[in-house]
Amino acid sequence: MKVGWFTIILVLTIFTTGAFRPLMVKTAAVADPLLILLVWFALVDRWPRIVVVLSVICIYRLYGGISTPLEVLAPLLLVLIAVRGLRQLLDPYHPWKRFQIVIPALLLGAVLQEFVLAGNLPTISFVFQSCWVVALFVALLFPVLDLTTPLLRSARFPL
Amino acid sequence: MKRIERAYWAIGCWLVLALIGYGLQPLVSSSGSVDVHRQLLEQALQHSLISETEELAILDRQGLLDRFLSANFVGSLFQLVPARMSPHNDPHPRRSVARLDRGSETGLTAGMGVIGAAGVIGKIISTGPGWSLVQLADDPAFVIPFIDEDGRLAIYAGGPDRGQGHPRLRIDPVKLDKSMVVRTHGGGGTFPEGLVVGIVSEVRIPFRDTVIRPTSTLHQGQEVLILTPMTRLDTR
Repeated sequence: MKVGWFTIILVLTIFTTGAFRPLMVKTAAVADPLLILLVWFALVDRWPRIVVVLSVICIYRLYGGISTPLEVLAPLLLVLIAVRGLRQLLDPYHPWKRFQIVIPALLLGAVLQEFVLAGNLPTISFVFQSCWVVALFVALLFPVLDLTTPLLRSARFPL
Repeated sequence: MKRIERAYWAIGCWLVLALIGYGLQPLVSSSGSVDVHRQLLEQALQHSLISETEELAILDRQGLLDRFLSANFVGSLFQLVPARMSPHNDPHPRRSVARLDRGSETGLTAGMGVIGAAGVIGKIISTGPGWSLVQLADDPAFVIPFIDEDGRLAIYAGGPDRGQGHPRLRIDPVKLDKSMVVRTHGGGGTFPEGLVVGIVSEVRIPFRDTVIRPTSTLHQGQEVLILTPMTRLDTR
């Protein structure tokens, strides 16, 4: 594992989350770059690296914030479980088919996040409206992340 | 171009995009909501709904103390601790938080109410020496009871968007109209009765989709007062 580049990609994703924060609030954080990064690793990478990404996100969000561990961890774990489950059914290496894994997983995470934070489930219209936001952000970030794979020696992305 | 070169380019472009995002933040963050709030406030004033929120300007510390020390609620239940509030970005993108320059050394604890010139600002959620974090009134997890003009009770919750709140639960048969001012109920012990929670901005069906706008200065640096409950010994 090339720790240096791995760290840079993580920091850059945190930086991006901060940069597009106003947009993030309006879209109820369904298009959170940190979640998209976690999903990207969860699609095809090894568990140790997925766990590292998960831990970094948790520590970053718990430190200096007011969120409880449940509010931070529950949506992330659900996204992770959804991705690892759906990849048994669909090809995670296919540039388009993987969207069918990623979008439902991110939407599930967002629904659980709203439930844990606000105590009520989002409406069906919220889910439909969020679909295109997730698709747009994933379509923007995934190609960039795919291009960075040569920097991560142990990454298993044949794209 | 080799794959490794493409990777370097990708990282570089990503960094530039993030920097552009930071640069555009002041434009994207809702300056429109302040105008909407001001417009609503003017409508409310025209209907003589409120008198004390006529100033939208942020008061200085002494002005704020003078304003609320003359209010009726102060004599009985709460002491007022002045503090400086500054904007703070929570690492979680959905949370809405601010930071105070006072903390546990002045006896502040989690759960205390924070008010500003125009009404409810939020609740203290955690404290330390010299700092406190305030959960603002538009945070999705912020919940307080409120009353309408006829004194009927409902529950206010923050969100779903920044600078917004909504009625979560109707306990009495509350009827909300546009430009109506909703106030604190006084139950729960965090806020006294009668402070402005916000102004109804849009009335929607179902009831919980109605939009209530808390003070427009929530995310600005300002002087605030913390409501610390008096003990029985203090009241003597």
